[in-house]
Amino acid sequence: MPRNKPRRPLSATLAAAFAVALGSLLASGCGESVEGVPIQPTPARPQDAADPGLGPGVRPLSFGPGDKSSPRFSPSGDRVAFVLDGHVAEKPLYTQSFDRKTEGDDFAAWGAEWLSEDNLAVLGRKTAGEAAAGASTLDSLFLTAPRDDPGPLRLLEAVEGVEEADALPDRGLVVAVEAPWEEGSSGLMLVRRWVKPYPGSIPGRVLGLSVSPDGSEAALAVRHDKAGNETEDRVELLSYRFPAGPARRVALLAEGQEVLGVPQWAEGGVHFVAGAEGGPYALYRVPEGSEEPEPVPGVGEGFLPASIEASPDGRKLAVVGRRNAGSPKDLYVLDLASGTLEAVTANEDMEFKTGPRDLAWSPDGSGVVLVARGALSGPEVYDAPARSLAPAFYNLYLAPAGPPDERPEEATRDRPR
Amino acid sequence: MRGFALWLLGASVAFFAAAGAFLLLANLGAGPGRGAQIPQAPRDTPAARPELALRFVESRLEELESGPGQTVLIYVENRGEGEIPEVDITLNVASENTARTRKREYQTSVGNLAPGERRPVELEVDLSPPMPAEDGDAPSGGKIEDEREILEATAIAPGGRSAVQTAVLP
Repeated sequence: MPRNKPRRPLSATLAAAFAVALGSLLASGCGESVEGVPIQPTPARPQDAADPGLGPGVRPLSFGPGDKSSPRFSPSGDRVAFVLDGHVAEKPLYTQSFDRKTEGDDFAAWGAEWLSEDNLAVLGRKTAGEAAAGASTLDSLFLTAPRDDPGPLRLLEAVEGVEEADALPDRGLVVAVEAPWEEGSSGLMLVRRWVKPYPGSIPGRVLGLSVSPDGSEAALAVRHDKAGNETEDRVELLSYRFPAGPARRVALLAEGQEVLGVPQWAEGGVHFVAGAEGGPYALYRVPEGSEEPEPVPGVGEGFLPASIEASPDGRKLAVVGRRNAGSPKDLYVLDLASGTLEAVTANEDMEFKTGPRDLAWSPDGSGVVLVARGALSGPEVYDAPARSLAPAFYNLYLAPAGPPDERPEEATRDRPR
Repeated sequence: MRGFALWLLGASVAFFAAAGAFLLLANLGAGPGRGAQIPQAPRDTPAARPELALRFVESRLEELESGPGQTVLIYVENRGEGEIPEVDITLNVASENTARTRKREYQTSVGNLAPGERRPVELEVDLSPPMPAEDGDAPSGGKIEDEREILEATAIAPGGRSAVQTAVLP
């Protein structure tokens, strides 16, 4: 017995020490391995939605075949509408399938705008039937049934002769229409639950229209068709102050100069991309009170812009373009106050769409949606069905564009399903 | 007696400490709670290798031309250890333009595949561009520049075994 006495406390002490040591080891060791060691990135594959070839943080918002264009965020930023092969579809931002879509093969949409969180306006034209019957082939604005209406997007024609449209910051649309009362002129209308014309006419045909961030003015690019005066066949930039106008000249472009896309109201005046037909094009602005376009500082000499879109607060400009003729096309954000230009995509091998409606800022200014697809020099094979591929076809991508702390989480965190 | 009490106390402490450690481990493994994003499976982790595999012969894809009578070569393979019966192959040929309703579907059966067997499947397909009349089925707003052609091949066998590959032609 006496020999055993020293052993018992020792075994108990050892057991306790072992347990405490094991517990401490497990607690400290496991905590370190989870929180302290980053997960290594995995190699990209062509079909990988999380790495579409546009750089870190850029995530697809749509998948599968189909020509997508004209993305537009709903006022809350929770949903996105876009044109898909001549139809309009809308869906929650991060779902793969869309909730509603227009139907029928006698209709060709080229744009969509949100009238409110639940109501979409569709820009397009009826094709087959009416055209064959010799009826009007003008573009129109169609209203849709609210979102709680099940089934496809049903359309109700509201305005005929539509040239362009843009959403107001406090709901509703400003629509430019051909003026039936004066050939070669246009008029502006306010569309909410009702349609109300703005007074006065716009001389010329409206090529592009954008509403200023505060909703007080519209910037317009118009082409003059009327023969016999100094503006014949020239492009003029105008502004129209709501609610009564009249339209006033911002700048008259030189003969042979074209505007690419839509002029944008932003800090420092009206910004636009212009150049001789076929390019090269450059980014200009007309400061308030001036009629002389000046190059926009910040983008640098040799920068080749293709399309622009002002941020919701008007302090930034999203610009798709090339730093120089030899560099790839990328999406940049130009801070208009500081003149700093930041690339928000790192294009590996993607083709960007540069149509006038192919860029859209999220309402909170944290991201920009663009439309792109992977370039193909030959057949490309993917280990997935076509419906789940993103870079193989034109799809929507959300690129982070706000201050770093306001940017959406990186694509690798959460993939759309 | 005192020794036994001490031993019992030590063993109890050891038991609770070990139990606590395992509970801690279990919580760490459970990850974030409800409402957090579902974490992605690491994409490099080798998944269970599918028994049925299928692949286009890419060199033959490069030889395809616009028009009828084009031959697509696909290999289908049994990578498992048992025979796979009744393997059917479907090849869908469609335009990137979803507004076009014309979709061509080609089917063939390769029968049973022995373990490790790889078999070539040749399919003659029509890659003609849509006729002007067929353009009527696409809204005029839905014309894509450099429209791409999609070849989606699927192998299906009983028991839910399947494989898919998509070839996109410029």
